[in-house]
Amino acid sequence: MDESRLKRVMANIFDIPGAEINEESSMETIINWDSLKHIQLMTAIEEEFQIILSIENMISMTNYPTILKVLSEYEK
Amino acid sequence: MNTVTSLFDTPIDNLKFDEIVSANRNFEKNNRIDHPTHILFLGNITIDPITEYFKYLGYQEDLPLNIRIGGYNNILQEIIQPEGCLQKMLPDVIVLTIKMDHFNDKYANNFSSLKQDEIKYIKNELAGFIKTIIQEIRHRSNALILIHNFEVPVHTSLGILDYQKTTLEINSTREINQTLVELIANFQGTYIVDIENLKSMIGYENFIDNRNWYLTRLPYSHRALRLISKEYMKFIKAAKGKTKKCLVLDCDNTLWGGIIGEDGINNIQLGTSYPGSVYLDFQKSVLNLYNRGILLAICSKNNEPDVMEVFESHPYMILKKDHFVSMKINWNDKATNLKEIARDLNIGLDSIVLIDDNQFELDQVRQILPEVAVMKFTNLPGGLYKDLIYRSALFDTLSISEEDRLRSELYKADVNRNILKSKTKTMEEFFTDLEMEVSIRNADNFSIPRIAQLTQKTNQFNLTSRRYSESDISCFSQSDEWSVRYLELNDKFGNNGIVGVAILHFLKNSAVIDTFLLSCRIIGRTVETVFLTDCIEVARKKGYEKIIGIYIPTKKNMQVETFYPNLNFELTGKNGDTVCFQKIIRDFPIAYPEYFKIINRA
Repeated sequence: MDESRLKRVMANIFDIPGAEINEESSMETIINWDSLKHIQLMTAIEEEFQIILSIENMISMTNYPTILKVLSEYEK
Repeated sequence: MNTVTSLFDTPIDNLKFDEIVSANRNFEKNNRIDHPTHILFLGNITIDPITEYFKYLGYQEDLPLNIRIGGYNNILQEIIQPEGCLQKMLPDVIVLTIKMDHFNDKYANNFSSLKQDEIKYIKNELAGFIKTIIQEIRHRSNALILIHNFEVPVHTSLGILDYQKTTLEINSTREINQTLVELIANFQGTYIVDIENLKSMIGYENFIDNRNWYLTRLPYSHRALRLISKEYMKFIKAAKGKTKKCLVLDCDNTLWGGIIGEDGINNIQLGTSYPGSVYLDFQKSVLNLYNRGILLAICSKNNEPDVMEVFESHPYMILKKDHFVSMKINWNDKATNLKEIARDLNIGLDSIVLIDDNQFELDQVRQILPEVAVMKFTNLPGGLYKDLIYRSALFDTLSISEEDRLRSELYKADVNRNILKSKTKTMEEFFTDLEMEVSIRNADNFSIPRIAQLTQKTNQFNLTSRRYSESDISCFSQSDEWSVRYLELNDKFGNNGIVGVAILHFLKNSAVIDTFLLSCRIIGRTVETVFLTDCIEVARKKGYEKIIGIYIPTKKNMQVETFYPNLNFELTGKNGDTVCFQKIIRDFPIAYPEYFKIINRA
């Protein structure tokens, strides 16, 4: 799983440096990460990794570790 | 502005969503956005992510957009209330995104529980709601209004039975969309964005994203959002006059398959069976453009007699010599030929579209004449040659006037005028022989569409290049503070139609010529002197002693830089790019040549 791609996507969507994104990053810690931005992040992740997320995935992916976990499931 | 082109060079469909977001943001952080077009979205759905696609397309066209999304399901409040978005933003464009689900949930999701009279009631209520919205906007704003039509359901509870009856869900919703078309005909500057048509382009399953709907009330997929934003852009480009006028076609492997100089007339591919049928269909689509007033020209590296033989004798040649206003069949490079075509027709190179099959030729034109739009006639997905031009939307306009339909006739009359010109000795004699008749009138319902179109499309002989919509012109013509005059010019070769517009704005101490323009077709006939005389006369009758002329320079209107000083207006000041001139009306009238016969000046 190439985390740099995910970090690039998140940096672009939330307008923050990629270096600031880490295991702690979540809807609570990133100010720009509201519900509308969340849907945009989901779209960007789908486009970047060429996957289609389930609505349950979309609801759960509100922090960095969960996003990684979901993406790794798609890699299998 | 180099940064703009480099940053936004990539076609939007080659970029991922986050890259688009990032490109927009980088540009906005590093550049001042001058004179954006203000767009206001009002509706009962979430549509926010579309702004990124829409803005990107705007930057690409050098039309920066300032987009604002009104409160969810607060359409009328945003229009009517003093603190609403309409009053605060003064938008140039309002997009109405109304979805049935949040207007009447029963109709959208429980259609089978409705009785006939209830359905009728809901439909009337919906039409009334939309009518009220448009009226309330029009009381306050001349903005271009774009209305999404309604999605016709794809899956219904009655299944195959549903579409057998006009009263059931599918046909009933189609009828609503029909009613919407009838409704907007009563309002100026109001247009439908045919969501149904866009949906059919990529299919329901690609267009709708129910995850977005359930999570944020955004009904569309991102693929749909890209498509819809492109559709909006077509309207904005048309409203801003970024419409092409002339289609230049190559011959070999474009109008027919094969190479006429090598294969000969009997062996080129053009006919009813493949592959000739591809070219035949393509010619039919070109003929449709001709019928709607697009000028056609040929630019082909060939021996002229070979090409003429095809035009004259090939049984499946639907396009005839008469359809073309200019033919450059020679061995010169295409850029040189295109420049000549632009000069012959007196149109800008940025009004020209070239279709050619040869990548080298296209690259060369792109290099030398970047303002010419080029399209390649090969390797199209799904063999959609027929749709090639339509899809590009390069020729899309907001209206078709009588002048448009007659355009090729008008240009042919121009050719006859040029023959007369070469026979006569002086310009004076030529103009006298033309027997020109001028009429100048106030704008009326018949002329308003053409007047608005001229303000949107005229670039060269246009002193201020102010672009107005039909509703703007309509407002001016009804106001005491404004006067909209239009000029028609006839001569012995025919009627040129409406070819001049002047808009006067009456201020306290002076009358200001807000707009003064002439169609490129009649530049050089000195009719501007007659027209300016009329403006002065209008101002004098209103009791003014002073008339003010304005010149706002653009890349294309250099030829009118000295228009006012040449006619004895005196320079009074500069404000940024804007140059002001004035003339004391009683001083002396402007003389206009005697060869003009003034037939009507109401």
